Amino acid sequence: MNIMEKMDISNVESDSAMQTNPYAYHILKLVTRFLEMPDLVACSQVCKSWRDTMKDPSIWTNRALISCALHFASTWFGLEHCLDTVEVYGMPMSDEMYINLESLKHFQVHVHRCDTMILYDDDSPEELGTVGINPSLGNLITFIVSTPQVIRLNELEIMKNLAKLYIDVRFFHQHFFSTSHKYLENLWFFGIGYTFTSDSEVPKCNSILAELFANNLKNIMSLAFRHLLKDYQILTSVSTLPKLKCLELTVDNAKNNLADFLPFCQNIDSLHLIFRWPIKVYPNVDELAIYNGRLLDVLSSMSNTLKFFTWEIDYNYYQFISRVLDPPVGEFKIPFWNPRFTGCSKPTAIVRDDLEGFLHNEMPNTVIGVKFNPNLVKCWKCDTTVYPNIHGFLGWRSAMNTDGYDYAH
Amino acid sequence: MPQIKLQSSDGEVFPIDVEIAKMSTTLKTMLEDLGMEDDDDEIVPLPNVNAAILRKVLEWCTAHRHDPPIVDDPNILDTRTNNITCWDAEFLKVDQGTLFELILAANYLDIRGLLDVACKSVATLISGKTPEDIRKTFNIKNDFTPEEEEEIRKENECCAEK
Repeated sequence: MNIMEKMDISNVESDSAMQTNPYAYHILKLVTRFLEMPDLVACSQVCKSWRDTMKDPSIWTNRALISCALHFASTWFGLEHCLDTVEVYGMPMSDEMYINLESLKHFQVHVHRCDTMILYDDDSPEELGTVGINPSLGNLITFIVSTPQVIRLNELEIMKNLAKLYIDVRFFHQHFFSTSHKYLENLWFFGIGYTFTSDSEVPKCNSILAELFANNLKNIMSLAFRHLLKDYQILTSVSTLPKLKCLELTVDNAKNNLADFLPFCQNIDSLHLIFRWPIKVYPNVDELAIYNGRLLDVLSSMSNTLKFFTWEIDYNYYQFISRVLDPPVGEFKIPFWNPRFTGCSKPTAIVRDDLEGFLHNEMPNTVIGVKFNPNLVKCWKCDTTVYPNIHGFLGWRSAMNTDGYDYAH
Repeated sequence: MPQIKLQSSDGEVFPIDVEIAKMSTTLKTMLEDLGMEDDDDEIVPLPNVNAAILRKVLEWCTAHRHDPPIVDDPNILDTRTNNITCWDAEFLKVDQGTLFELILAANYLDIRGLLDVACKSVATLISGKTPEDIRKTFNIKNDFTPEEEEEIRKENECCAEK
């Protein structure tokens, strides 16, 4: 039974107990322990006193500051030192953003309109440039999307120890890598975003990337192309990476077909595909069917080497394929999906429990998808092992049929 | 069964089993520190809790006297709000004012189980709602200045951007 049915306390009273109670701020603070991030943001937008209450650092301590809570690190300076994870998206930045790394273990920024970004260690804030990042941040993931004019990471002396890096391809324009890529030799994970890259910039970005791949990133084992990739041509350069095993790709509205380029990634044994913005990408079901048919052909040809395959869809894409798939996957709810944030395409907000019956193979957390083992492919509907090859795994039944495959069984 | 007497802020005296009183960490500490356990005549004043709320608190404690103690580890803090038992849900069918008083009393007396369940029930009133819905739920007036409204609008714009 729904908790709201059991409890009849949601009725509005004539006097607001929350406003008359002199300890309302204290009550709110106590309650916040049981609230999700989007709810905390909502609370900060209720009234003055709630907003003041929500500025209490203890509320945010040990929480991941994620996309929708972005605002606070920028305007409420002083909070960030209690966070162990910062993931900031689309934040209108003040001119300078300081991140205190005292407790930071994971940092992911995705900002624009930021002129200066300085990461500093609280122990010696004067030495912003040289201290930069404390040694424990070997796993720091930085995803910087924007055009900050200054990134004072000591020209990336700190990059020496960096194991993982997420960065936007636009930085390649800016001297950033030309002086610093020699420090990247310890990287084993490299994530690249194309978010704000204009189409005309893509070829240049790709050629810089290709050079990086050929000369400086020999140790890369895992590569992620995040957000709009726009041109799969870059995958031809990926073949120069000797140790690369894991590839993550965003399937987007690139002009060329991914299927033509995946064969370049011969050493890959783990592939993660992210499907985004389907309506724009595939205007109709037939195109989707053809597209997926071709893609499956390629995946099929990789099935000898591929050990792990996942795919990830966002909410819009899910809605789309739920219309394509027959029978319909039925009603599903996304309990933590705040309607205010449906603009977010973060698939992590989709709770997989509610998709059981849709794809009931064990799924990685936060990802809607299937693990793929070419020797053990499960039917998406009835859990029986069906095809000992790659064809069966996606459950694109409608799509397959139009392309001449037969997936009925 | 040894008993002690609790006195509410409005003067009412509640004789209760020490065992139940000790569900309150505050009382437990007090009793142990002061060595009051054997002294039946001592009255413990609770200036922050009125009789109506204290009665509710004691009702909850009596019903939960056999609960296993809550391990206070922030890492395993149970933040789910959907696991309120039927008894508790029935118990918490009170007006918001009482519910808030209960939270404050549970916090003051340090009765972790009651505090958590009462906070959870308030959290369910907030969870998934827009600020406007929250205002309606708690009958709160929007007192933001136009400047603050603008600030908030910008916050939300950024959320929608991504």
